[in-house]
Amino acid sequence: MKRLGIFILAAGLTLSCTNLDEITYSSISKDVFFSNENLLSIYSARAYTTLQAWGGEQSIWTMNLQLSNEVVVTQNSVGEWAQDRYKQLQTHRILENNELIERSWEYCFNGIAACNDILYEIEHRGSDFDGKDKVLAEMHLIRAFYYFLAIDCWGDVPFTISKEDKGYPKMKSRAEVFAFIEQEILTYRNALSDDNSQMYYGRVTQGMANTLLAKLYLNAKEWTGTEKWAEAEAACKLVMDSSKYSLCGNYKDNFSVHNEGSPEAIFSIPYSTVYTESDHNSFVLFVLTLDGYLAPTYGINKSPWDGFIGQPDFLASYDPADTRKPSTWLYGQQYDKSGQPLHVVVKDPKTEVITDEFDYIIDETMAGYTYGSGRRTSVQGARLGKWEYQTDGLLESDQTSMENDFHVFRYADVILMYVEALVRQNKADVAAAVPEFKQLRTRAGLAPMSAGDLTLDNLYLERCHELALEGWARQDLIRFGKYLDPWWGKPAGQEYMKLLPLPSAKMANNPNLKPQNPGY
Amino acid sequence: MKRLLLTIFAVLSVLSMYAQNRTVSGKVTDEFGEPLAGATVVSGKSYAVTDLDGLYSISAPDGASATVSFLGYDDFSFTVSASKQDIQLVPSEATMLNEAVAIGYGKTTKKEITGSVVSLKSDDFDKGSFTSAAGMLQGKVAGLTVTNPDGGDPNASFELLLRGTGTLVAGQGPLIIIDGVADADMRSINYQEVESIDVLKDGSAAAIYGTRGSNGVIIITTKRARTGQSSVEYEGQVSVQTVASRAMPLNASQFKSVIEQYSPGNVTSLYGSDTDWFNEVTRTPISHKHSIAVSGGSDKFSHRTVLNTEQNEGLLKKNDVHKYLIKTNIHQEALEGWLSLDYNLNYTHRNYSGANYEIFRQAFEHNPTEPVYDRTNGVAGGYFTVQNTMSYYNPVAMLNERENETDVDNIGATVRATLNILPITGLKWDNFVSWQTERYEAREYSTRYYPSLIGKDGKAYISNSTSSNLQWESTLQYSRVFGHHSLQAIAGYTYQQNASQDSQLENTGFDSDLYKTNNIGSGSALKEGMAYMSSYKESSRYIAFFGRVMYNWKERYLASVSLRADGSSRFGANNKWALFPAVSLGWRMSEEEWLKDVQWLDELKLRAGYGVTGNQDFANYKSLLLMEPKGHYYHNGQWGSSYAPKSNANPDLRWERKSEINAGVDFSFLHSRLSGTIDYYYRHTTDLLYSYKVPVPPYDYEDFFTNVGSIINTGVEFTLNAVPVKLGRFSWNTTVTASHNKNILEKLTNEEFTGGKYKMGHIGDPINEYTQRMIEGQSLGTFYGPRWKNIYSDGTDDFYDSIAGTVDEEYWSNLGSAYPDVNLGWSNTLRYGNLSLSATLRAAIGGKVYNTYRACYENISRIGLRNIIDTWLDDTSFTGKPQHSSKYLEDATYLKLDNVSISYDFTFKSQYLKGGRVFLSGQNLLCITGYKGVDPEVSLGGLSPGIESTSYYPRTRSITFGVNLNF
Repeated sequence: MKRLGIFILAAGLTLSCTNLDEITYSSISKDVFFSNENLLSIYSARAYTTLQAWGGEQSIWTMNLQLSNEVVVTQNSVGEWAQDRYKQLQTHRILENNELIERSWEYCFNGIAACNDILYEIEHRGSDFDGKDKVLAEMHLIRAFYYFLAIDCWGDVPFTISKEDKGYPKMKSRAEVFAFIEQEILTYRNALSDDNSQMYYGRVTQGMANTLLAKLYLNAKEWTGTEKWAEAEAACKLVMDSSKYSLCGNYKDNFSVHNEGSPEAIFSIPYSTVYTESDHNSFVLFVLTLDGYLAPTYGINKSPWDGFIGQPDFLASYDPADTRKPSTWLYGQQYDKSGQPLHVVVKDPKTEVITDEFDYIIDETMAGYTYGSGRRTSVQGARLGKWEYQTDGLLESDQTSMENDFHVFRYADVILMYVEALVRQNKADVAAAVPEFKQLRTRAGLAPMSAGDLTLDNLYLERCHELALEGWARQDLIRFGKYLDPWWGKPAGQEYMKLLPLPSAKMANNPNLKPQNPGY
Repeated sequence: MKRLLLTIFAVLSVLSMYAQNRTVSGKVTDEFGEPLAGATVVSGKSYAVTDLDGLYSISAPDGASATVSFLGYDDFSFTVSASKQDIQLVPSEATMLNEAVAIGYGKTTKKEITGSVVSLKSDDFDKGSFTSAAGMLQGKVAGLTVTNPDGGDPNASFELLLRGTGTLVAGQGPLIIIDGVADADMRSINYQEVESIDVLKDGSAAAIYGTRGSNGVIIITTKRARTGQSSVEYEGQVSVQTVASRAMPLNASQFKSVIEQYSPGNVTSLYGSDTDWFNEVTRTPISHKHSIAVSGGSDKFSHRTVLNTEQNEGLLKKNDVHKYLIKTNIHQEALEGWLSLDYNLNYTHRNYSGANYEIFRQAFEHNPTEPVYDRTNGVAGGYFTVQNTMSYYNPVAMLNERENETDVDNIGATVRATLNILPITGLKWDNFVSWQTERYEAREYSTRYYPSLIGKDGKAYISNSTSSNLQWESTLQYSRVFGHHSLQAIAGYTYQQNASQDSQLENTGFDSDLYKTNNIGSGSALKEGMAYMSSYKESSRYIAFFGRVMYNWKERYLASVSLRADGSSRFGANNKWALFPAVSLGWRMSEEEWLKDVQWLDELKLRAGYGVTGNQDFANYKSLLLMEPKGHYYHNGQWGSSYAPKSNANPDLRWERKSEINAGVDFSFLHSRLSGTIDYYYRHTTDLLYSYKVPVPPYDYEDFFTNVGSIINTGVEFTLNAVPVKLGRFSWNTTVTASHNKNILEKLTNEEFTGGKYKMGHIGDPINEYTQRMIEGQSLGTFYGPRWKNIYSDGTDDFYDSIAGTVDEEYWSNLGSAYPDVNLGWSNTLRYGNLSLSATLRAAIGGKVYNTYRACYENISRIGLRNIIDTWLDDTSFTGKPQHSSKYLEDATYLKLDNVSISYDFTFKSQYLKGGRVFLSGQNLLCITGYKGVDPEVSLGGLSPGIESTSYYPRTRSITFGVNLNF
């Protein structure tokens, strides 16, 4: 009987040991993040960190630079940067498997996925905390920003906003997504903070929402066929009337190493040499454009890659008095660390015999060089110098980020959009009288524009020079009807090229991702 | 105690004096009346062995009983009463059929088995030296391919593949069970201690192991406690190895003349020395092993204890493995037959300096005109070094300037307590508890002169890990014969918990090389933030309920039904439990009345079975969305950390499921002179796991690990045992195994999951190409590429369908699969009295092997800094850039003479030394093949099978001399 008892006891013990939950030790499961507000804010940080891929080598920003008439990537003096992917972008003859198109796609859709996930988790975990509505609204706006970039590039895009959607995302038309973005902004902008102090720096605020709305409306005609100039004007006005923003006294302060205090910053991606250190989240312009001769000037210990240069015709388009040209580009005589004119002496590493010697004077006209004719020299092509290069010696590797933050939305852009919206409604006289517009011109060393000067062509050039390299040139070229024109190193384009191809690798994974944009 | 023994001895001696001794002599013959030489006749302490004519003579007391025994025959006992006693022995046809076969959670006999199970006893194994017990299975089991891809590495593990590849990324190896402990490491036991190995091949046999049965089950039983007189056994062996074959680079004079004649631009690469880099890094290794086993005891209490040591040298200098093992098995009967206890305690210590296989590659491609040393080169520690080269390092410096030492301790304890519930005949409750733990510590120090680390001022690396495996099995077993009905039933529960954790430390920048790894914190990299540190921990849990009923009627109609419910923590939340049914039937036709009288027929059995098994051999946490720290974000004016997903959640993740049909025939004729087995199988593995590229969103991460594909393996296996010659003291036993398997990747993608990696078999520089494709409807390991035509007049390769010297991937052809069509094994033992000679051959027919040496080195454009292979001299017309094509694919057919052993068993009449054996064995003696590379027998596991590696540790030929002594 006693034995039977033991047997029953053991059998009971046996049946109780059926728990098969996995216990993790060295990785964190999602559930951990929803226990307190601090962890929750770490969880939602992902929506913001995905934005940091903006400044990488193969990013949506560099793709837009190369698709525009501002920048060209051509074979350098040692034969690098000759890959077909850059040539495709420069000539607008793009293949579906272009890496930069794929990275740009991932930028948008990884961001959307992160926002969808964070929104879903916050809403379904039932967690409640101070400022929850604000965090939710921020996520809605970041997602809207990603969809805005996506319809800008590809037109119709796969669409999903809920983690509860079954199956793979299906295509939605550009107009439908446009309407969605508009609705999201209108619904959530009032839940956002209107504070633009240091506390909200780098985060989504009402100013960001209205600027995004203005950009959306400004492109409405191109994207949906319906003009929304008045709405664009109104959205800009909301930003201007908030009195939160003003133009910097000095244009360059927007791009300095510590540009976080700029009163023009509406929506910024903060970068840090220490904290945004890996290849997927750093701002590495220095390595893309500078070369080994110029690096010591800035105390850069790593030999940069000598790739991105300014297109000669773009450089030539500036008014000689425009101070924004030297603020944006490095050209002419360059200087060494001590401020002396840079003189390069090239020696054979073994024999120490001098093989070449020249003054480092950059020829921004690239005289004698045509695109595709092989290697350019070390001194051909203006270098991108809009963001001040730090000289603290911390830029030591390819992946180290510059300390400068990237102001994606800047107050000057809002002013110019406001002016454009007015001009397009034939209110050039009102536009010419906008005080900030006048200030913007004088800041650049130029006379304010009269109503008569305010043609669309002149306004386009003004945008080019004020916002050069900030990532909006392709959109502007399309909106002003100039994207298909031939320019330096690019033949005339065809209508279909205004949209980019859907990446073939992504089409292979999602059967709903079709049809390919026409022409590809 | 000693005094007591003496007293007993004295009493026994006195008693024996009172009985009258009689000398009995006679002749022992077999069933045909032929004399049997070497049969033993034992009576009390007297002992005799029959001579060549079968004659014996023994002195024994009148009325005492005597027993005659001979292997393969039933024992014959008689009472000593006459002085002449001729004896005719009856062959124990039943012994073979009654042999116990382990079937998982129990035993049955060979005649009662209904699944496909192969049972090997210690006599079936080759003699010689092995790195693990797996080596003894090579060529012995039809359908089981045993390959050692690591050549002569004394630390090598074998790759086991049963009935073809049935998975993509989950484990391919069979479940190994050693003395009841699942997931055991064969290297933690001494192969000489293996008593039997049972291989459960088909689904119906393996289904009792549920989600771990898909790749088959190998049950290893080591020698157990034995009742009887105390015995002491010593085994010792020493072996010496030489290189069997290797790829030959150009020697210095060939190198010089090739450069001068064909590549004069590279004369600056001639340094004037004559160095054989392979000889510089290798040696003639000598290894020895010793073990002492003590066993004995009473019916109530017995034990066996083994002490074992192995000192193994590798072919590569400094590559040594030392192994020490202590193991005790204790058997105890208690509570008047109610309780049986079996304890196992084992401790294994391995200390080794591992081999860096890259040294072999560097030695191969290193310029033979470079000297080894350059005393003037202080920066490189006096080694000759060519500046500014990528991945080109002095192999002698690599060898001398790095020390590594690893210690592995395996400690295991098991208890099996069997409660015999005596009131109910045949009922028992069996509990098995096992605790196994492994501690691992690796220390590696590279000095400031280690070639790839010059300027780092030494690099120290310490890695630690511990893992544990707790197992509890509880079964209720009932076994009974009711008249013609025989029943064996079992119901059980098993619980297993595994945990492991590890940590790594790495630092550089040491003031002195003297610290080695013993002051790792002193390196400067730690202060500069460049040191490395990591740790990890994981655990898993596995639970199962199972039951099986085996029934037979008159040992004629046999049936077995089993069901197992398996749960694993690895599975997704929606699929935690799996059900695995199996049924198998057998019909022993030879037991039917109408066949019973057929004299020459011992056994004829038809078997058929169906069983479902699973594979859960994949990493933990694969069903969970895990977050990893990734980047920082600016929040409230400060930088804070951010996380990102590193995997998707897959709550539906489950085991790979294999259903298998097996049909077979077992036969035995002419008193077991000829016996064998034929099996046919069809195994269909579905729900194959693979990582697919998925859109983000809706997914959180771009890779998704899920169950999609399916594979079919079909095959035939054939085993034949025969005794073709048996004349007097001479006999020849032979076993032939043959197997054929056809592999088809039935499905890899579905509508939802299409994107993934389907190109396999990557060959590195200068080929840089994926040479295999995974295509639905074809075998895994199928090579694709341009078909090579000939060498064009300009010295480049010409291909069929080529445009401008290359063939677009779209037009590549199927160039054949890496898997052989047929595997053959042939084992022979010739005995003459106590002398035996055995030989084992193994062959594979068909299949392709990629000759990577030729692809990478049979190429004049590569000469200069690096050396090329000497076969280029056979045809110097090729001067182009090597490209992947059928040119480098060769037939992998081979025939190997794996083992030849000669041994002599001797018995002594001494009271102290009872007997023993000496043997001399040669392993890997001969390989006949048309393959032009090193060895066509390459790894067939994984998704890139059939590719010869250029970082190859050469296989060796070894000669072993061994002595066994029984006291």
